[in-house]
Amino acid sequence: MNGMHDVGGMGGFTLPVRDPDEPSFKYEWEVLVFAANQAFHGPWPLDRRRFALESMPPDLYLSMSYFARWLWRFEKLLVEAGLATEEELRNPDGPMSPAADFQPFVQGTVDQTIPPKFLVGADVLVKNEHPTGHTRVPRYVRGRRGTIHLDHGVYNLPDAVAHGLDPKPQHCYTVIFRASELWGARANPKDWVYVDLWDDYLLADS
Amino acid sequence: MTEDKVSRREFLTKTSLAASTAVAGAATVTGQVGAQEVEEYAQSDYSVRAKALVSVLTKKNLIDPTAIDEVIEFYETRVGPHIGARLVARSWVDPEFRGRLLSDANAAATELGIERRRDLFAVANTPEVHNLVVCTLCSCYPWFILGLPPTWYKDAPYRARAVIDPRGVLKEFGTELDEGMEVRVWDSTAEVRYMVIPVRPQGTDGMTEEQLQALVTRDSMIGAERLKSPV
Repeated sequence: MNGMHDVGGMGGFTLPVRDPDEPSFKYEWEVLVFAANQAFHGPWPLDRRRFALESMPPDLYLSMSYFARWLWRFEKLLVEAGLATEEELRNPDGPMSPAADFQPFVQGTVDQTIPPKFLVGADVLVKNEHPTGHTRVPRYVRGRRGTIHLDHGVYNLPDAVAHGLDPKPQHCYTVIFRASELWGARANPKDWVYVDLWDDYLLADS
Repeated sequence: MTEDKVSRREFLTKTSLAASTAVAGAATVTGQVGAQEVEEYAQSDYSVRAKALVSVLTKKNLIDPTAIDEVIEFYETRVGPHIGARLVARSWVDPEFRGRLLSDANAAATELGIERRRDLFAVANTPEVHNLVVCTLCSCYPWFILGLPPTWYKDAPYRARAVIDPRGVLKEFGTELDEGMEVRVWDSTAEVRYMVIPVRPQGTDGMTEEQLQALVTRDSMIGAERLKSPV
């Protein structure tokens, strides 16, 4: 979806000072949220967890730190899946109901013999689609022309994985775009942007 | 983080002491309260909620509390930029290895005994080309060879600007590129994770592979800086 997460190309942000020795966590609660997230994957594939963040109201997304968003997401997904209630999360010393049954998500193997739609060197046009579900096409490449640079092999299309739909295994490529194709005259003509995109996102550009 | 570990154990046993007070406090924040107080309320709220989250998961047997410590131990002690530095230093001293790293980074990592949880692809900086890695949509990062990403890598300003103004980002980060150089920005939108092989700094001819590893920084393997000569 066209969420706040899709920030590539936006102006107005201020870069922080780069600290080569910055610790991974600023607050101790962030360690807990991170570790709990790694220790419990629940019934959700990674792309379902990504979609939860993408669905955040934009003002909330920008007002919260990275791990605060993870905490928000974890609570939301637990409640949605019936694994915990809001009351339990607010009052963990109170009565606790048993968690609903769930199937842990298992990433199946994909058929690597599926043929590619495009060969390395082919010119492609990124479809100008604006789905309401999860997708991995950044807005800044939609409707833009590029060239297949690398074929990484077959992976499941995340748009289907995130929503529990039938798997859509297909080739995923690195597509190269001239920076000027994406950003116009402000781009340095020598520069390139490399973006990984699945077959379903692309059309032949003849 | 030894002290942290002690208090983490307390988290798991003494949860949510002040849940209701912290939430009530946050609710009373008004325009008269300064930004710092708002931030403190928010952090206090997050802290209470994070402890509650772990407590609920533990009580419902959804996680084993020792799994939390195992995750922390793994990221604190086992993965980090020292792993990526081994790939880079070897590529500097062994041109054939460099060729294998650039053509099949997965196999090259396996060759050095590096445990890989994701597909890896390595791109090389040269005097004429500079590569920069970003994830504009979230925070994809080759953590199995670099450890956890720095905050700036995960936050919106870098993700927004790296693709449209890589030279400006690099300049603010302390690296000014010649106009004539080519910049390649890699947006990690799918399944492969990218690492940059920095240019071997001048004045390092007599160094051992171990000494070279120590020169390789995390940020140079993201492409956020170019390595300077150590002499």
